[in-house]
Amino acid sequence: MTNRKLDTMVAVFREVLNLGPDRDPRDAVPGDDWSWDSLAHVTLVSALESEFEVSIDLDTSLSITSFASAVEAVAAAGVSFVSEDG
Amino acid sequence: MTTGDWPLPKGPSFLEAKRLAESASGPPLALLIGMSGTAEPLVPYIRAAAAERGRDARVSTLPFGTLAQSLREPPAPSVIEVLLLFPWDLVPEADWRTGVASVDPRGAVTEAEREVARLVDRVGGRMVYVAAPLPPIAGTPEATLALAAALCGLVASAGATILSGTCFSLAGYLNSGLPVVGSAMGGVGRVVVERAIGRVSESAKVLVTDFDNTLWAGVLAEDGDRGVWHQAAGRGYRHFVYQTYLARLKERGTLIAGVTRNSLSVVQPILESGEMVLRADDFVAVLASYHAKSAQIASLATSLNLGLDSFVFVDDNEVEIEEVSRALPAVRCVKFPSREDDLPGFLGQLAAHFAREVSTAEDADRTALYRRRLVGIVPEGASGADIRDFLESLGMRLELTDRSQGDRTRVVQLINKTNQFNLNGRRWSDEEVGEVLARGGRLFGASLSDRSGSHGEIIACLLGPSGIVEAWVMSCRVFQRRVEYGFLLGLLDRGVRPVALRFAATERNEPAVQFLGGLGSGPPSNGLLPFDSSAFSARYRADADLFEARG
Repeated sequence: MTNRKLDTMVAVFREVLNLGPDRDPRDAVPGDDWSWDSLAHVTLVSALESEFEVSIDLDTSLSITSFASAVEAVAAAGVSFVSEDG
Repeated sequence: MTTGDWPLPKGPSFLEAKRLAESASGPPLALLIGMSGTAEPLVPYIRAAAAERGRDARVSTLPFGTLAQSLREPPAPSVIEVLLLFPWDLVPEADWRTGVASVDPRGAVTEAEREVARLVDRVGGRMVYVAAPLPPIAGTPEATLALAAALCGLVASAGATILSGTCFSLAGYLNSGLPVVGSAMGGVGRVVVERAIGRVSESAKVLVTDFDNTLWAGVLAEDGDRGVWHQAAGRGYRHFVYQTYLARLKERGTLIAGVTRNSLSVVQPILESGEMVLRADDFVAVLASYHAKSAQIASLATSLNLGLDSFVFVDDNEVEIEEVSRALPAVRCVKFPSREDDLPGFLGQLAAHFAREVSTAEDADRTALYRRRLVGIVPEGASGADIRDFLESLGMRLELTDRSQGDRTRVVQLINKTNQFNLNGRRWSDEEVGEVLARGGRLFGASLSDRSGSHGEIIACLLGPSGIVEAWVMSCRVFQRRVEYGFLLGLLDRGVRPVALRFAATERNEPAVQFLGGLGSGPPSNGLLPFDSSAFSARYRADADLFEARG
């Protein structure tokens, strides 16, 4: 079973945080270990808005502290992550 | 210098921009983005836009809040500076990040004039201005609006590109200093690069317009010339305004051509009726056929001896837009708006494509000089672009409903009002349909939805008790989406196996003829056409993947 939107989310995290193939974006958290600094956070929120064509408000953007919370933020903006095959 | 409100072009998404930026090659382009906010997230989009223009951009940005200071330094040699400005770069008291201040509007405008003059001395017209909303700084709402308008007027006079305030993100600006909304980043990147190295191409010369639901509201072949709207009233108003703009373009030398999936006999009467703003003689050509629109436009370009990059194509149907833009990437495609509120932006886009400051008597006569009778110029078998992956991306859901029981009003209406994709043109009364069903026949409808919403019930199909398809129609709204294939596959999946199709050619059912002819046995003859469900299923099974079938 595939989910294109989740795959897109993974790709966005990988690009923004510049992650190599040995690192799973689903495990990313803010901090030096993941190169998730304040600029990366700005870029991440902006990239999510661009990729999913949504607008993320200030409170929601501040709540993005993990892959799962990013999915929640984009879903709260109206994007369904229900598997397209299911 | 072109000025004025410039609708934001659609740009690549983040991942697409990264891909384009990484593939950049060609001559280097050293750019400095002068912006008082956080500009780094824009860099991949600017690099992508440069890559699309064959340039490898090296983009530098300024630290947050240092624009005014850096503009006092001499510009670096060999670096093209483009300023991305916001109201607070001209009136510091308008900066949301410092709270709501108070200003004297006249004094603020005077100061802004001086600032704009300084900026023009430095970068000329290489400025992009985002008309973000102002805080209430000028005493009254009216005075604040007047101040905002004055700032737009100043930068427009200076040759800047003005972008709508919808590009502005107050959340992003307050949170991180990034004042551009993420969904506008790709478009802003393209505008910045256009300001740096010029527009993609010269002013366009030919506007090719679709007819149904573009030149008028409604579908001529279905609704008749009394059922379509192009008047300055009600449903027709949007189309009336469009036609008046096409008339102005024609006066200024633009060639107007029509392209429509209709036969000429259907469209000619309305064009020659004299009841529309545009008349038959306003068109340099009318391409009326059921061939792919890209093939028709390509033939027109050859016939007029004009490059495809001088063409703009307007259509309300995103599938047609996608097909033409894939087959003919040089043609600039613009979607006709579905809402009145989007009309200003749409016309602004056209105005940008047809920017022409002076028109001459020769311009006004250009249509007559070029006019050809071009119907029939498209070679038989001309095919369009493969848009399968685009169709997949639409997220289409095809829901089949058995209407053999219960309310069948809509599907019977559909049978009786559909002319183009209509198996035989026969009209059916509700009683006649009821008699077929009473003898064991089946009646099916199907509705389609996609990422842009619901298209409603768009197919009706009546099968007789022996499995002969007696009536089958499909709305022209969903042509080119392979819905007819998905529908038949859906029937087969439900165990409904038609054995034959009762076909009759009519004056208007060329789309049905094309479908049947494409099944493999050549042009159909009137009468019963055998239907091999196993062969159909084997040949077109992949089309089922285009739809999330329901029902």
